[in-house]
Amino acid sequence: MGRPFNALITNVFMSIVSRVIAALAIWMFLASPSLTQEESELSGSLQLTGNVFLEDTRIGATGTPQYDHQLFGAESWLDLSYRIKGFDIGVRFDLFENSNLLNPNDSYSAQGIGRWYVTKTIGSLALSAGYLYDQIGSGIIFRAYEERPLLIDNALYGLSTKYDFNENWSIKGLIGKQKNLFGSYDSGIKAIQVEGYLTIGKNGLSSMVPGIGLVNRTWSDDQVNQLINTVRLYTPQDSIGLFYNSWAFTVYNTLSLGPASLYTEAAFKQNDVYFDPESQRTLYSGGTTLGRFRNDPGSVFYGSLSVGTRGLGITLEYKRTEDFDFRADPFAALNRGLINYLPPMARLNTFRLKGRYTPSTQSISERAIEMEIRYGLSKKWKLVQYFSDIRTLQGDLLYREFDNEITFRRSSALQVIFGIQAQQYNQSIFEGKAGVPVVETVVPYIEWFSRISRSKSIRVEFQYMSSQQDFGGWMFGLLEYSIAPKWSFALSDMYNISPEKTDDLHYPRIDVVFSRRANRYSFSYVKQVEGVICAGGICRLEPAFSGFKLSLSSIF
Amino acid sequence: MTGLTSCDENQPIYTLARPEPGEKNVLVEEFSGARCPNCPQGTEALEELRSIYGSNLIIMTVHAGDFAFPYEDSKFDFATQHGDDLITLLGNPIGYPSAVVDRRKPEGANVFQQFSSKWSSSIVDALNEPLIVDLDQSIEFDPDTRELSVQISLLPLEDIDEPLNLCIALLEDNIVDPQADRAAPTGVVKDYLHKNVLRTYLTPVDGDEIATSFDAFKGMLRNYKFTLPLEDGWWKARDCKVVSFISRGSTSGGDLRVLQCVESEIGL
Repeated sequence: MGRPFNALITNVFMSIVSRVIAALAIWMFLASPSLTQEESELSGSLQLTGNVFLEDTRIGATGTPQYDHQLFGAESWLDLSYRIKGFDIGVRFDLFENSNLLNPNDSYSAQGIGRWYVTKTIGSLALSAGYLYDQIGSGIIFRAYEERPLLIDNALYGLSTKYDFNENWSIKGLIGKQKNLFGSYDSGIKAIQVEGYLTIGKNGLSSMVPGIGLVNRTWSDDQVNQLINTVRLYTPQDSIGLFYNSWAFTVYNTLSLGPASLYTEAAFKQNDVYFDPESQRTLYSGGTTLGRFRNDPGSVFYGSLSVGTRGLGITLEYKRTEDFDFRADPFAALNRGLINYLPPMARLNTFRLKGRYTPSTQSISERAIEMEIRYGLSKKWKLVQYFSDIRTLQGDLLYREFDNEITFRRSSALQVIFGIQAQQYNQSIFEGKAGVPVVETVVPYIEWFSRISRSKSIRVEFQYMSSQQDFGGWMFGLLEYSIAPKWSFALSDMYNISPEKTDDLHYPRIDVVFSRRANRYSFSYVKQVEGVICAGGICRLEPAFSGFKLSLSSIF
Repeated sequence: MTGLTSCDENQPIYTLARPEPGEKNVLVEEFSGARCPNCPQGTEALEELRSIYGSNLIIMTVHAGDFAFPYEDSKFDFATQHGDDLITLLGNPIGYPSAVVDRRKPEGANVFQQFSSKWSSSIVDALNEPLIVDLDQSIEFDPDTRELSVQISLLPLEDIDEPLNLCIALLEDNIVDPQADRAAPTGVVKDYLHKNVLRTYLTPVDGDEIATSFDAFKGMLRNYKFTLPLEDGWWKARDCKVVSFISRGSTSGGDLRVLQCVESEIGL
């Protein structure tokens, strides 16, 4: 009788507690109209995407549950936030129904409260609890963030406190666990950050924003036991020491001197046990295999210099990464469980063919330099030169890109962008395709924009990719007609003009977008080429897509 | 009266001898494909684990999913409908190499598929599970008719009040055919030695339901027959083996846990 009775008492107690909390929440919402408008504010947003899957075996859009029998998949995020008397309260409802975001080859369905938070500032002290997004420096040792298209939600489920010593210096502490879908990883994460602001000289035009940060991650007993069960089977030469606690430290600074700004950061990590899929492991049989746990210390050095003067802008970035895979779970792979964020050293290209081969950031061995120079040749002509070179620490080429882009802007009614890009892309490393050659591409491109009338405009894009590797050469064309501010229609086609792998297939796309006030609706018919993506020794097929895409975003 | 009472005797007391439970074995369903460049690394890692755990570890290599299609010079296509059914049952891997250990979802995970870094600890967890069903199989093969007879004996070691399914698969070793391998200079090993290849199932991939409840120590027998196709470079009886396992029914809230598995060579 004792246990059921206790359970009954517990249930009754929890029921009362939850009703009290609900009543308080309702009271806060209902009571707000009696307060002044300045004291309270309720706002929100909705993002909804849906995919209708239409099987097309010719392009490989097949073999997933969505094409097989589910036919429809959707994701949605509804954010509500409420501000009253210095409190910020928020809640987010997440829904995934036959979604292909978590695994492009499979289906994921779940729904529930994806986030809640409460923040309050009391004088110099700011307190936050719940699912928190934050980062230290550029995020190299800690970044809690969200990337919905990849279903990354690395919020820290815990508590944050920030204290301002004065208007220039502050200290911040964070503690919690990293979110994992609707649960959390077992490990505990603690972080502390001190950041300041200093002016240099009397005129106040120069300044420094220095900071330091420290992150501690503690494995759970279960995680350590699982690690023991794995590494105890290693041969003596591969055996490693294990640690419950790992430490990451960073020091960073932004120096602004007139038109120049220099960001530098140095980060170090020690006592971390991480899986290196490229590391060779010796077997008792005498053979070898790739992939083993390591505990070597890691480091990242990152610098970004930007200079802007009249008619000339320069951005120069450098990064050196060695053994800096930092996760909330030692067995997490790909983009799951990452505590930190390593800045990418290749820009995201918006032109379809220019962006077809994009390198993923390497966390074990990478040395990269990236530069962009922007010239204002005249009022109408602008030139952008871009260069990126990414190698392993041993000097092997991973990625290189040159791009020269010219913009001619006669007026707001006519603009033409054209240029040529050249790439070298180590498909063997980025996609794990042993034996394939480095993909070399040359992409000339042009975009022409013309405003026909006050509300109507036309945009035309044309790109051609010359390549003898992978899928071969491509051609892409787009025609977009907009009736501002409500309607936009786009028709495009990507054509495998000199195929190396498949038939000479077309990948057409039609988009209709309607916007009204803060609501945006889009409807698309899409055929999208497949691509194998591998990172860290794990291959992942981003499958071809065939079907309709629907989306709605609303802010209220 | 005394004489009558003297006929009573103190009966000897004894306890029934109960069969000693065997050791828990673990089934690893490795998902692979001829075009999967990382899969040979995973296979090496599993072979290493088998050298440690011996016959307690049973490996089934399922060619299914994104990389399971042959090269132009391949002699064999290892992909099967059963492999596709297993993908449907156990989920499509997010990447390769990937495997499912004893059809258990790792704690905190919502999928069966696991990357290679996790296999070792999952196997240890599964090996440490208490054995609640003993399983044995006897194999007979007629080389003339190529008929294979499999008799399964099942012995619950405790009362079980849930449906259990019996699965029987046929695997084949020593098939030489091209295989992608990122460690090879050309990316492909033309004469790769494929082992533990799933050829067919004698039951559905989620098994035949045996019963919905079981009494402790009340044994059951089940018989299956299968005729091996004629040898055509493969289907070599001497390289074939039978893997049988008892798992929870798919109606058990998505828990398909394998309770015991056994492996026997047809052996000629």
